[in-house]
Order: sequence, then C-alpha cells, then structure tokens
Amino acid sequence: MRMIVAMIWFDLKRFGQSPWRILFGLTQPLLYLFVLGAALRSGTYAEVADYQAYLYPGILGLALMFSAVSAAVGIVHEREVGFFRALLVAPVPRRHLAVGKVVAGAVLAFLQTLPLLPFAPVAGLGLTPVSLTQLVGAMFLSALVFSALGLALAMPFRSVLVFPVVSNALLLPMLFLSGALYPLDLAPDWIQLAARFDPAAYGIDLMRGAVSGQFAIAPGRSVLLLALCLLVAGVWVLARLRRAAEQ
Amino acid sequence: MTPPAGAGLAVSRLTFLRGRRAVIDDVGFNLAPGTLTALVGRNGAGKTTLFSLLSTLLCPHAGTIQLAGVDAVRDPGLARRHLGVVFQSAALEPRLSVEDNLRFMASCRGMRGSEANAALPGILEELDIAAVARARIDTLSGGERRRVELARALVGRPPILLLDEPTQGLDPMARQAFWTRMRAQVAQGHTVLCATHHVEEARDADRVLLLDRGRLRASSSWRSLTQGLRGVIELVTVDNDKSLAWLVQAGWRVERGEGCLRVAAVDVAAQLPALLCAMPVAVVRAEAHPPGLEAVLDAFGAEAEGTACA
Ligand SMILES: Nc1ncnc2c1ncn2[C@@H]1O[C@H](COP(=O)(O)OP(=O)(O)OP(=O)(O)O)[C@@H](O)[C@H]1O
Ligand SMILES: [Mg+2]
Repeated sequence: MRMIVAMIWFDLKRFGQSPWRILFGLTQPLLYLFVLGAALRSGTYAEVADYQAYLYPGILGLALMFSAVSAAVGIVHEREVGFFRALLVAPVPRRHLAVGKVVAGAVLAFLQTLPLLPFAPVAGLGLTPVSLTQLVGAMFLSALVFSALGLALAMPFRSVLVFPVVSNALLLPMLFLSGALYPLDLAPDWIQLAARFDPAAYGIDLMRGAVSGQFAIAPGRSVLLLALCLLVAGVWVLARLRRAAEQ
Repeated sequence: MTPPAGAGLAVSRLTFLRGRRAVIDDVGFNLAPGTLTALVGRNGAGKTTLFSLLSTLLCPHAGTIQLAGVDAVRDPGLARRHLGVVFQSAALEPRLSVEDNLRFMASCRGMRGSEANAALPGILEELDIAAVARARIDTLSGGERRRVELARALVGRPPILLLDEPTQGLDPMARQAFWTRMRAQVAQGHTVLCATHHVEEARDADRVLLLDRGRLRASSSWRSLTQGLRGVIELVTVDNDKSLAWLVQAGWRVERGEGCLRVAAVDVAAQLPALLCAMPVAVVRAEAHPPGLEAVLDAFGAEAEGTACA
C-alpha cells in the first residue's frame, strides 16, 4: 500500500511541475461546452431539451479521457529518460506497479476534470449532494477505466513524440461513439452498434444519469461493464509489465 | 554447484541471445560476499547485457543466476530486494528533485518516511550531494547526477551492488571518495560487481572478470592477469640514437617514441633500476608503465581468436 501511495504521490509531484497544464487542459472541454454547445443548441439538436445540459456530462467524459491518456504518456516519458528501468529493478511487486500506475493516472485525470464541476449551473444543471456524489463516483470509475486503457496503449511505446499520434487516432473515435456530443438514439444503427463496444459510452451514460436521473443504459450494467473493462486493461498492463525489460 | 552462503552472487552457464547471436555465451562465475569484482571488456563485449540479466531486466535463454541464494530467474521479485543497481545510462526522473527521487526509491524498498528521513542524509553526505538535495535533477551537472544515481543504488543498503561504469563523469576526487565508500561497503560484507574501463579500478578490485564477445575469458586477480605481460619503460637520454643502438644490442625490445625511447619489458618496476645501472648513456628521465587494461584485453583477445579457430 505504501508503495502504491508513493507512486501516486510521485506522479502528482511531477504533474505539479507544470501547473499550466491544468489551465490548458481546461480550454478544450470548455470550448466544446460553450462554443459547440451554443452553436448546436438552436440548430441540429434543437429537439434535445437543453443541449448544453445534455452535453455537460459528455464534456466531463471528454476531459477525463484526454487527461487520462496524457497521464499515460508519463510511462513513455519514464522509459525515454531511463527512470522506468530503476522502477523495474526496484523491489516493487509488479501488481503494485500496475495498480499504482493506473490509480495515479486516474487521480491525475480526476483532478484535472474537477475544475469543470463549477460550470454545471452555467450549463443549466442543478446538482444536489446526492447527484454530485453519484457523479463523482461515476467520474472516478471512468477515470480508472480510461487510465488503464491509456496505459495498456502506452506500454509498447518508447517515444513521447510517437505515442500521441497513435492515441489521438483512438481517442477521437472513442469520443464520437460515446454519445458525449449527441444522443445515440438519434444516430444511425451502425453507430449505435459500435457504441456498444465503447467504454466511454457507459461511463458518460453513468455521469449523465447521475445529473439528469435518466439513464439510457441500466446503471448496473454500465458499472459492471466498466469494471470488466478496467480488469481486462489492468491485467494487460500487468502482463506487459511482467515482460517489460529494457528492450 | 552449491549456492553460496550469505549475500553472494553465483552465475552458471548463462546464455543470452539476440537473434541468433549469443551476446552472453555460457558465462559462469561465483562472487563471495564481501568481495569487490571488476568486470572489464571492450565496448560491446556484453557487460551491460550481463548486468541486465543479473538485475532481472532480461531473462536468460539458458543458465542460472543466484542472488543472495535466491534464484533470480525463477523468483525475480524476491531477488530484487537484494539488489542495488547503477545503470550505465541515466535512470532518474529529471523533473523532480534529488530528494524526491531518493525518497521515492526508499518507499519502493518498503521504507517508512521516518526510516527514509534517518537514512537519506547520511547517503547524501557521503556522496557529497547534500547541498543539491532540493535541486531538480535536470539542473545538476553530469557528475552530480552520477552521484545521485549512486545514492539511489545505496538506498536501503542492498547487499549486492551491480554498478555499470559507476564513476563515469566523476572528477578524480569524487571517484576516490566513491571507491573508499565501496571499500567500506565491501568490508561490511556487501558484494560489489563493477563494470569499468579504468585500469586503477580493475587493479583495486579483489578479482577481475574479463568478458570478450560474450564469453568469460578470465577470472582472477589483476596481478595474475598481468603476470607475464609486458609494460613499457619510457626513457629520455642525452643521446637517444646511441641509447637505441645499445638497447637493441643488449637484446631489449625498443621502439622510438616522440623524443623518447619505449622499452617493452615484463615487470617494469623491477627492471627499471637494473636498466638504469647498465645504460652507457646518461638518462634524463625514466618512467615505468605497468601493463594497462589494453594490454590485458589484447592478450586475452588474441588468445580468444586462437581458441576460436581450434
Ligand atoms: N537493445 C539492443 N538490441 C540489439 N542489440 C543490442 C542491444 N543492446 C546491446 N546490443 C548488442 O549487444 C552487444 C553487447 O552490448 P553491451 O551493451 O552489453 O556491451 P558493453 O560491454 O556494455 O559495451 P560498453 O563498454 O560500450 O558499454 C553489442 O554487440 C550490442 O550491439
Ligand atoms: Mg555497457
């Protein structure tokens, strides 16, 4: 446990070296929320009761997703500077290493998304203590899943220049299929089908249900599938760590 | 083969392939606790690869590694507890401070905050980096960074230290201090294996392992490695031409250097006084150079080629 806490603390400290990242990390979700949201409110999605309120949980999901993947770049950076080797020869059990890395990434993503919460009323959402608790729970679970997926993706990479190219190629489809930006039931069948395999769709639906009380997917099912996804990605990360060496 | 008692290191029939080439080829040795062993070999001989195998970063294709009695191939997790490693290249988080890096390593070794508080100042002091403890790694000089790498390996006082060219970039004083420290560790029963390209470090070691193209060519003390090898006596005389003629006549192996004569001889330290007495020409300056690393590598490399053909 101490080792896991130390790993999270270490990653937080490193993140603290570039606090401006929080600021820039916020611009993208806020742009989506207030520019895209305002633009589409009166047009295409006029029939959705209040498009900005609809969009808000999706934007939380987007922020979590992008910041979790950028936290996963940390492990590529560690490889690049050689620090990863020191970690590998340290007497830390590999499963602690995997848990520590996944949780650290989730904590970073979560902390980077928290500053969006005060914008909920601006988007037309009133949060009660209960809905806020549910929302935070859904956010953290999603953050864990995104962090584990990000790490699973990042493990084979050795250069921080190459990884973002690949991760962006996966992040955008994940975002577009998630129902973050538009209601999935208005989308063509093939998108609805593809969305079933998008973990982000379940996380965002949980968050949207928490703030609106309306779930498109049964919440129990979402939690279960997210947990399963976390487990599979986590085990994958662990397996890669076990085989990880210098070369 | 019996596993060594205590905190030693035993390797047997170790083989590692890259593609079809054996980068480590059937290597075996046994390091007793409380000894300092130097690992020498040319660039690309396989020293770093051997360290990667010993430090569980690579898995051998054949052979066994015992670290403090633990089978490092079967149970790498347990073996890592006994290991402190200095890599040939950097392995620190450049954006955090010396203290953050070392503290993190301490928690990785399962040390509590209070234990780290007690242990770290001593290590920082010994390596003379206490003054930069709060500085970020990427603001340190090369030698300072190297010392932090050493400090990281010493955190938790692991019984076996694997050091891959640990003193590269250190100034002579820091190197001296480092070896004094290592000697003290060894006296306490630690086992140290150290790759080096420095002849003084090889000479200081209790034993020298010589690696050549993945094979262990020799494993003995520096003294016995250099036995029978020629060193060089450099002479400057008032008349080098006359001296040269005389030396050749007297049966010495001589060649002309820049403004001096270079006489090759076994056991130069003992030969020098005799030579000086016999010289018919006044000697202005004389220097004895015992055989260096190059001579040893040459000697064993040549032998290696001979056996490879056989
Ligand atoms: N990642 C790698 N992929 C392929 N070949 C490698 C890799 N690392 C090392 N080698 C090869 O393995 C051989 C041994 O390399 P190694 O780094 O162990 O040498 P070394 O003895 O440490 O050399 P040096 O004194 O330069 O540090 C070399 O021929 C090298 O080219
Ligand atoms: Mg090397």
